[in-house]
Amino acid sequence: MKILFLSLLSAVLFFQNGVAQVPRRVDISFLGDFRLFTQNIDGSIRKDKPTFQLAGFETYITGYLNPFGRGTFMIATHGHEFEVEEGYADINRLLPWGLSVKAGKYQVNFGRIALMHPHALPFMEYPIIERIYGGFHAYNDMGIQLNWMLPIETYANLSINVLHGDWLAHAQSGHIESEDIYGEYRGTSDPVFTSRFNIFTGLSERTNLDLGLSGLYGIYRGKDLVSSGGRDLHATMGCLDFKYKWRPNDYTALEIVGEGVVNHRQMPDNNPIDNWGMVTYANLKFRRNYNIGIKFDYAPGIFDYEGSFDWDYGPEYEYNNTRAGQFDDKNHTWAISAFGGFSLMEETTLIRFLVKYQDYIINDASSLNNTALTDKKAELLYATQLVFSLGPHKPHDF
Amino acid sequence: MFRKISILITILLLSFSNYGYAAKKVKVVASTTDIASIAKEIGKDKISISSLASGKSDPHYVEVLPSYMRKVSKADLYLKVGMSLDFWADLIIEGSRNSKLYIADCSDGITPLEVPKQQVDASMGDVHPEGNPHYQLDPENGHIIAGNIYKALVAVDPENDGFYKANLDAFNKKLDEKIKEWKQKAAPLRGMEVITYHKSWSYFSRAFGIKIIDTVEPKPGIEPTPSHTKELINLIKTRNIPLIIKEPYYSNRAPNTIARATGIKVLQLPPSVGGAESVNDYFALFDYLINSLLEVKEEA
Repeated sequence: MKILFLSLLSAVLFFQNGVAQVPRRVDISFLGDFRLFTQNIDGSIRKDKPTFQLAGFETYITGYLNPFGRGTFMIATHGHEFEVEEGYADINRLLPWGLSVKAGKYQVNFGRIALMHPHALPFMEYPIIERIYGGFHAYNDMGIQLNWMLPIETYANLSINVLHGDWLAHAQSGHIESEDIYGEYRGTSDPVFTSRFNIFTGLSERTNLDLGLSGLYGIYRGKDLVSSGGRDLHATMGCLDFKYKWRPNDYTALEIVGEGVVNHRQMPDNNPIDNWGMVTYANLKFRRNYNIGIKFDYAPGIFDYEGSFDWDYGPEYEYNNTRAGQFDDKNHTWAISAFGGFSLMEETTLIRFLVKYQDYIINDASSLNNTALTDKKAELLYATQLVFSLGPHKPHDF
Repeated sequence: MFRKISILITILLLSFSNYGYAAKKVKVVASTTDIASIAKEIGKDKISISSLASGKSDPHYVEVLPSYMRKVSKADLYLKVGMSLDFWADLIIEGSRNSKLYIADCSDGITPLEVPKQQVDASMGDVHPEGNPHYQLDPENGHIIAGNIYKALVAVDPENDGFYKANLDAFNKKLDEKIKEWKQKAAPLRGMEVITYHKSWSYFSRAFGIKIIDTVEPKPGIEPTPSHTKELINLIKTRNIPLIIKEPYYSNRAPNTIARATGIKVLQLPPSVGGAESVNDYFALFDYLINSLLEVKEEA
């Protein structure tokens, strides 16, 4: 039914675009994500077997609403259900004093990586900390965002989000692809607040540095939920991120990106949990259409694929040993990945490669699904991905 | 003591008055150096002008940097190349959050070359639906660009209409004289056959009678392929084509391969102001291009 509805919606949009008496341009893109992978994960029915997967299909619609702002929809499926990943309006050129506003469902600017959809990242999936602290779509939520460009010579932006709180609900519940675009219930209707300050500066004609500092405060589990112990439990998070870029010429660039998250959670037993995670990667783009790089992940909890049918569906499924790694301050997951990519034509076709080695540090199995687990083998994944886009939405920014 | 303080206050007041005067300049940002160069001729000291793409960078691929958004946030006027060449400018303008910005498209009134006759799709490469956007390389189009800039400046600063009009007239007069000079000087180039890397030179070749036989790119924006390179080698040998023109930002790899196989000369030419050491303005650009091509012609 939903597929039928979306097909009709797409058809109507195309029709309007083509024959309306006063056509207003709307950019529509269809983006496919096809993968071939193999892994050596014990217990997986696909161990050491080549596996094909249509990992994602996205419809991206964007256009001006008026002279001052635009509307954007991103409707996607990752295997089973269609979902409105994003649907928002932003007003950029109406408000005074360098202000802009965005409202709807969107990727929240907590750190820098979650702002991008995975196909726009140089590797294939969100880093582990995004998945642990944010869920499958990283930091995706409904709310209102106010941005202020500071009136100083250097670019500096202060952003404040007032959010519905779905992000925290998803992450803690092990959110499975939800049909419900109106969010999940956290046991409270109080909003969650996040902010980000970032500053961008040129270090020389060919190098620049972008630094960001983000914070979050809100109830992650309200007193109406049984698991809260009868009181509102708060989450406090911080994130420091940076991006250094050296661009010796138009078609060559080295970027080094890092993001570190600290997490503090109140608990029903009055013993709060503190943990942290980080990701850093270096990506070299060269000859306009190529890139190669390396990434290091370190995250709280055991984020594994054990028994998983599809390798890229992490904490949402019950196969993981930690259902909610943000509450685990004893065990850790780390991974090192090598990746590369080649674009036949920037806007339309992208081929990527990934080799990922992932290992685990288990100090205390009491918080895991499998409480008897004391040791866990490292895992190796090889994957090839084809991302193709029909329309102006680029699969990847070279 | 009192005298010293008076002098100091006077200097301070003068400084503030200078600051106030400077602040009244129309702040203009242009996508490319060519547009900026012509805007400078029209606006002279009544405007402050900067461009986002440098003369050595590929205008198709300008990185959307926050620092550009900050720059445009303070501007009164943005001058676009248009015809989808500087599509990146839209993101910068949006990110600038500048509600008072006046945006002018300098391609208004240009008669475009190579407008696709069928619906554009990716099988054609990076083809612009509005036609070839490198129109600044026909000096006759300099008049149209200057006219568009004049209209935009008057829209944001009507008080100085007379000043801008006088500068426009002076620019047009000088450009007419230079076109006459360039056409005479470039007469030996008429009929010269060349290969270009990208279709940047269509307007230039039309203006000066140069024949572009093919491009190193198999299709616009598509990297050279072995099969197309082989075809080019055969073509160059058959027709005895003497020259490949390459923009500074494209790779030397394919042109050098072709040169090794055929002996053809590869000449790096800047399609924009600032693309070479002595190319400081729109007039110097054509001086440089014509002189460089004449040197090759003489060598041949």
